[in-house]
Order: sequence, then C-alpha cells, then structure tokens
Amino acid sequence: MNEARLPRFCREARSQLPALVSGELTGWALHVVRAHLRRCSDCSAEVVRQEQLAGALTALRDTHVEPPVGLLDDLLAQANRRGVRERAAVPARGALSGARPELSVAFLTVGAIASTGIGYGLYRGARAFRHRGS
Amino acid sequence: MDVDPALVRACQRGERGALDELIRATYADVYKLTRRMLADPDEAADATQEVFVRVMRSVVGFRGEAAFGTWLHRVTVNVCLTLLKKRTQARETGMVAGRTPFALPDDVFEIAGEDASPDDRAETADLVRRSEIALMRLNEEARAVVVLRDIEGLSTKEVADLLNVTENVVKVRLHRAHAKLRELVLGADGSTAAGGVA
Repeated sequence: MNEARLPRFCREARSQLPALVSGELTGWALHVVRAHLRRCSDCSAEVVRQEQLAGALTALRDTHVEPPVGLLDDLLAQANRRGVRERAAVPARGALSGARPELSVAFLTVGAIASTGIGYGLYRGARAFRHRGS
Repeated sequence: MDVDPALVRACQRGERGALDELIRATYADVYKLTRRMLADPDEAADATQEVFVRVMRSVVGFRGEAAFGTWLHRVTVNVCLTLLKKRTQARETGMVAGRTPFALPDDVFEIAGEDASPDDRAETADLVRRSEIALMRLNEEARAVVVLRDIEGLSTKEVADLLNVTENVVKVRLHRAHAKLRELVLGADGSTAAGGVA
C-alpha cells in the first residue's frame, strides 16, 4: 500500500519501525508504537518484513566476495615499488614538521649552523674580554 | 577488519615482509566494502589500490588510538565517498551520461557454505542473495547509508559524520532505502516468493 494513503497513526508508526527493528527506539515512542502494533495487523506485518530485510542485510556482512584475480598481485607490486616502501619505513617522518621530512632536515641543518655560529661568537667574545682584562 | 597489532608495529618498524602480510590479511575485506559502496568491480579494485597507497603513506604515523581495523575501515569509506562524489560531479557536468546499476541477476556474490545448507538455510541464503542484488540497484546515497548503517553496523551518528550530513538526513535516507529494498527483495506485497529483482 502507498504510504501516503495510510491512516495517520500508521504513517507515524511506520516512520519509527526502522528504529524499532534496530533496537534504537526507547521510552514513550516505543510504548506508543508497540500499542499500535497490537491493534494494527498491517503494521505488524510490515515489522515482520522489515525484520526479514534487516536479517538479510546483517547476513550480508558475513558473505564472501571474491576479489578479482590479480588484485593481490597488483597490491603487492605497488607496495614493493621503489619509493613507496621507503616512505612507509622512515620512523622520523614528521617528527619535527608534522608530516614533511624535508622540513625536518631543513630545521636540523639551520639549527646546527645557528648553534655553531652562536658558540663561535661566545668563544670570540670571551677571548676578547680576557685580552682586555689582561 | 581484525588486524594483529604486532603486525602493524612490524610495518611501522619497516620490517621486511610485514607490509605484504598486512595487505594479504586485509585486502579481501577492503575490496568487499569498496565493492558494496561503489557497485562496480573495476572501480572497487581501483579504490582498494588507493586505500593501500594511503595505508602505506600513513601507517608509520598510526598512533593506535583506535584499532587499526577501525582506522582502515574509515580510510576505505573515505576513499569510496571521494569516488562517489567525483562520480556525481562528473554526471552533473555531463562527462558521463548516467550510471545504470551495475549488478545483473547472474552477477551475485558467492555465499559461504550455501551448497551444504538445509532448506531453511537455502531460503535465507536466497533472501540474502536477492538483498545483495537489490542493494546494487539503489542509488549511491541510499546504498551508502545502507552499507554503512545496516551492513557495517555503524551508528546513525557515525554515518552522519562520515557523510557530512545530519542524523535526520541519515534516518530519512535509510527509511526510503529500506522501502525500496523491501519492494525489490520482498515484492510490493511483501511476498518473499517475488522471484528476485531482475
């Protein structure tokens, strides 16, 4: 039967049936829908149909779908292609930059040069101070 | 998608053979999900490849806050949703004439153990098979909510988050999808002897 032609109570009850079948319907709504189902054989039959469908869809989860021949070989070849595996196996990737190893290298290089420069400056400063003192 | 955490750690350490083993352990499940979401075996195979490219790029950064299988599931769904969006855009811009549902009556999935089932199990298996075909006949939006909510068992909220819509939209799409599925699987009068959906 076309849902638009159903009595109002049936239409409202049917909109709640998916939630009833999946066990999500609670409280007052559950009470009202159950009370309606006790009186309405059409809607009760609809629940049975929805339960059948829900059961079939749940069973689909466990059905076997055969992957195409060659897919596994393609995936393994892709994984072993030069560059991909190396990218997956860089433990420090993103350690400094978040996600870009080239930035990590840049940060480390700039840091090393800056700290060497500062150290050298302090050394020269300390020497000049000592010479002035003597 | 159950994956041994030790295998994931081995991949993160870059151990030889670990990545291959991870692919062998998970590719069939990934393909099954992409096949259901996309309803096209070629696109599903391409999507599976894309999923594993993303896995290879990101497995080192995987922190284990959720199970690896859950993360892989999410990556797979995201890849499928991206492809579905592209498909819709291509259709809207007229690059493709429109896609007909892929599944044909004889294009059914093998149901494990069907041959050995007694009569009642055979009937159930038949219902399941017809549901699979009917699922492929739904439009993309409807199929996505049914696959994620009813088959993969995600909550309404999780589905809404993934699809970037409200929970109410998910409920409405699910309600309409169920009505269509019931019509296709059980027939307009609800009889299971409707003889398939072809």
